[in-house]
Amino acid sequence: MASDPLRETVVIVDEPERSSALRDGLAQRWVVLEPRLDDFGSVAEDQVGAAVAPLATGHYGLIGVSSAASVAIRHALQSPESIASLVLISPLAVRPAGAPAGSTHDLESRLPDIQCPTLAVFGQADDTIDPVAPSVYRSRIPNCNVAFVYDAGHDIAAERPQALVNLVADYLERRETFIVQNRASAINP
Amino acid sequence: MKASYLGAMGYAHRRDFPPTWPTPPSYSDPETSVQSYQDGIEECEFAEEMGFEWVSFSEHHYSGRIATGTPAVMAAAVAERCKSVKIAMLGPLLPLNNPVRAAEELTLLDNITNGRLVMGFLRGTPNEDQVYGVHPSEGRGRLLEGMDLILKAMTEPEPFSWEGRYYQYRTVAVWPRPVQQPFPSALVATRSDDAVQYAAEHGLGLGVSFVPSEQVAGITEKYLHWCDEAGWQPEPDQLVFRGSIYLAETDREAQDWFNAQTDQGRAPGMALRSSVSQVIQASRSGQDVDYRNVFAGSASGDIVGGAPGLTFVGGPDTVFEQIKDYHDRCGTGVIDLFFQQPSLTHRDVMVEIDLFGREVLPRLKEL
Repeated sequence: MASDPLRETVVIVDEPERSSALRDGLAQRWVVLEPRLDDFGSVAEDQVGAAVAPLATGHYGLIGVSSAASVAIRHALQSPESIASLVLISPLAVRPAGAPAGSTHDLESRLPDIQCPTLAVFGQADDTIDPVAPSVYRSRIPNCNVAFVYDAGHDIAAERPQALVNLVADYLERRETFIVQNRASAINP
Repeated sequence: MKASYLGAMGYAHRRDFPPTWPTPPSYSDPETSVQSYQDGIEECEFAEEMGFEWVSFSEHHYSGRIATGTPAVMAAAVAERCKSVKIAMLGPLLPLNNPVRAAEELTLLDNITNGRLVMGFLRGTPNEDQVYGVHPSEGRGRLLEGMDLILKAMTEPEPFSWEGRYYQYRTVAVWPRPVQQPFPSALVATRSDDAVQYAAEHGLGLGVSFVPSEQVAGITEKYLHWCDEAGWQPEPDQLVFRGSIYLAETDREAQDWFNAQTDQGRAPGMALRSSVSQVIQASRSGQDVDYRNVFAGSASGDIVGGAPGLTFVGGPDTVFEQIKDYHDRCGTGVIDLFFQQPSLTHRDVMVEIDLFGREVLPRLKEL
């Protein structure tokens, strides 16, 4: 991992070896850091902070994927001053109603404390996600957009890599204003 | 078994149309057109009075034969006159339309009818590929994605973005929510395996049109197999067949009428120049087209894709047996009937509806 003062930084928190399509796609525009975590336990967010602090310049975009999305949420809560935007891809921080209380239950109650613009991305055919979960992120995180990627399940980066890269890049670039169309559609101007 | 009246809203003088599609707008006289829609609405009202339980609408463009390019508008008008029938939107043609707009129209219809909407999704006939500038090869993909997007738009409680293969919407928040939860009764109108399988896997009904019962039986067999694999069985109302009908007092009278239509070349249909049809069919199947060879049709005609023929022709006993065949062989629970054959007047159609309601429908309801 190397810093580049002329480019902004994006930090991806994911299981090892799974984010290559996303990393490669975003590396065209950002310095991409992928801190290696021993696990996704209660100190993982400290590991993220420790790994990123010497390398990131200014605010950075933070991406958490699947189980590691919970680490990204905890890091965003712990270091709000550092995070420009948060992207949660197939996050598992919201569990189905009736699931045993645990760390994710505690995290769910803290979603309203997330201060940065947040995008939660789901595969439209992801059957590992509780169907109500997307609306929970959207309604509880103060500035949150939810996106569904068609024709993808849980591993969106593997199933629709270009769609995911385009979506995430657009959000990192424009945050909540990404909802405004910025591509011209005139055919014969 | 239930009967559905297809509200085709055909233009009164459709018998005078040229054989090819599209029908030039110059054939539409406003006064005649206004009266034609009033006549069509009256037919729907009378069908309801005679015991039809659904009135259906179908999206067809640039033609006065089935003159409902925007079927939701027509359905809304009829829904205010027909207060008990199901309003079956069988359209819309998803590849042609913005699926979010379609979802908004459908949920609004479900609200103004207080939950009487039936929605059907389909790709459309080849001629429809020429409207709205959609590439014919994208029809299948747009249909499948459009169905997913519509169902998501009807069921997701919070605003969302959609990153599709054909559609990208960054803000979707369809209002109002449908009355029928989680979404209105729905079916896929198709003969293609992938769309039949989609219907089965998503708990949707199946609609098939204008083919013999042997063919419908084969499609239904696959559908039921995939429903079984998905762990459910469809209700009778979820198996719909649409066919054309001419009903007379006797078989002889009906046959004489039918023979006269054929002799005069008045069969219904959406005929195209063979060159255009070739290009559409090749494009739909993903083939490259050598246009230098295709555009060789004669200026005077060379027409293909005309009338599929009438599905049900005869007196009441014969027509009952013909429809019963679909029920017995294919499990058809709703028969959607196209009465407005090109040479018929409004009065002719009203007479047919009356005869069907008295002599055929009571027996169908006992099946």
